[in-house]
Amino acid sequence: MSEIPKLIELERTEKTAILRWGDGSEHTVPWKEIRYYCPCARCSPSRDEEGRANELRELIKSFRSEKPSVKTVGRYALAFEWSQGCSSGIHKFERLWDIANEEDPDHGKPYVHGAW
Amino acid sequence: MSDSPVSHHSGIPSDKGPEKASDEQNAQMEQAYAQMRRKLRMTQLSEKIRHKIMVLSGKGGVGKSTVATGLALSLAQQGHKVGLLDIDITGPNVPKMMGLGGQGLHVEDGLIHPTVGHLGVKVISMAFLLEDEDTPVVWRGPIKLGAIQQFIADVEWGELDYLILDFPPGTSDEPLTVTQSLPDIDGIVIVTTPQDVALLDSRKSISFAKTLNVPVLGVVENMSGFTVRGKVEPNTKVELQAPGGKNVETISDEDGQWSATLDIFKQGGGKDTAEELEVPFLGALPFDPGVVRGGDDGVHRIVADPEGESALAFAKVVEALSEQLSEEDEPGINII
Ligand SMILES: Nc1ncnc2c1ncn2[C@@H]1O[C@H](COP(=O)(O)OP(=O)(O)OP(=O)(O)O)[C@@H](O)[C@H]1O
Ligand SMILES: [Mg+2]
Repeated sequence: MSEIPKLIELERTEKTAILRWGDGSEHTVPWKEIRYYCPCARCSPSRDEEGRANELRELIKSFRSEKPSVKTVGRYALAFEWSQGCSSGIHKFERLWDIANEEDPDHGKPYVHGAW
Repeated sequence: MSDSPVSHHSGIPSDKGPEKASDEQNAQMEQAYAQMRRKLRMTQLSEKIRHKIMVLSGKGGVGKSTVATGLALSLAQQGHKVGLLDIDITGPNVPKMMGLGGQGLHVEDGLIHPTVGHLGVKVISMAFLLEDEDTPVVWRGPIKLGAIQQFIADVEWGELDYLILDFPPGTSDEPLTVTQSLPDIDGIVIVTTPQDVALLDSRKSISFAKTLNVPVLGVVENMSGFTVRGKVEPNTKVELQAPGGKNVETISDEDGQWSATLDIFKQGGGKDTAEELEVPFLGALPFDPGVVRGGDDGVHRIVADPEGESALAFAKVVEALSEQLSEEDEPGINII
């Protein structure tokens, strides 16, 4: 896990999350981008394959813009609650940092398949 | 290591000139060195694991292993990296619940590598040491505790968000050994059932937790209420007459499947105990026949039915649990 600056502030608008970090940087990220990268066990496998990844994108695009409610999880993640679609992901700060910096937060391996 | 052999020096200088370490001394040095390495590994290991949670109960058979496995799966379902350590050396049953049987140990470069179960949960069980799954190990006393320490120190977990530790029932030596070996344990989850005796036992385990000097994260009431399920026409309302003259309503899904939970025992016992003992109540899990499907494929309900009553109940417990974890150290993020 690489070191990332501390997340200091999250400002929510209708369409975007504005993330302010300890190193003074600020990123504006569309919610739909964050939602696409939902790390839960249902959404993650969809990003494994091109076809389903696009389906996931389309699905998220179809949702209306919405400012989510938000909770901190421990001292390492945020959980968002939307009225439509998936709200079960725990979004770690490292992932949010990657998304903000337009890097793939999955680092090429969206989901480790267990024995199911 | 109070029981280590003490070497006796006669005081008579040996005629072999400059002293050569005896075999015994070598063995002792090696042992001390191994001990040091282990300690170092424990510390390193501890740093790579964000949260360590022990699952205990006063009484056996209340569902510790089911709850420990369920917590691990529920956390994994939310995208966490999770490990599950089954310390019940006399009756380990976690592997079966995780769909793992007869795995044996995977050792590489002197480290034990966990086996990956459902939803990517990494599993280590004392059962992996058994020749035959149905013959329990009868290690006693220091050997057993030594094996536990070794297990903890020598497993290559990698980075984990959560390590869940399942224990044998009662207030035995194992939890003590673990708390003494593994630094920074977040705390203990106590599993109880609605019956009074089990509650009494959980009172004991709460006071036991105090002696371990580890916080109690909360009480989970298991087998609370009874989940019934069935099949009717899709999207149909189902009405059930529940005990106590209550009615329960539910709607079947697109496939016609429905499930509902009825309270059979008096409810809220776990909640009352939690309040009385001033520890958090994390939630209730329904009695769900086939919560773990028997046989070799051992599929936990959370995996088989990720949106069913049990999975939802587990998700709520996990939510309550993570609130306990976050309370201790505020992340200090300003949310606008
Ligand atoms: N919520 C539940 N609904 C239905 N059955 C359950 C539930 N929880 C546990 N069981 C069943 O009860 C039995 C005991 O559960 P489990 O092995 O998890 O208990 P335990 O406390 O770990 O036992 P031990 O003290 O022997 O380690 C198992 O057969 C399990 O499938
Ligand atoms: Mg058990």
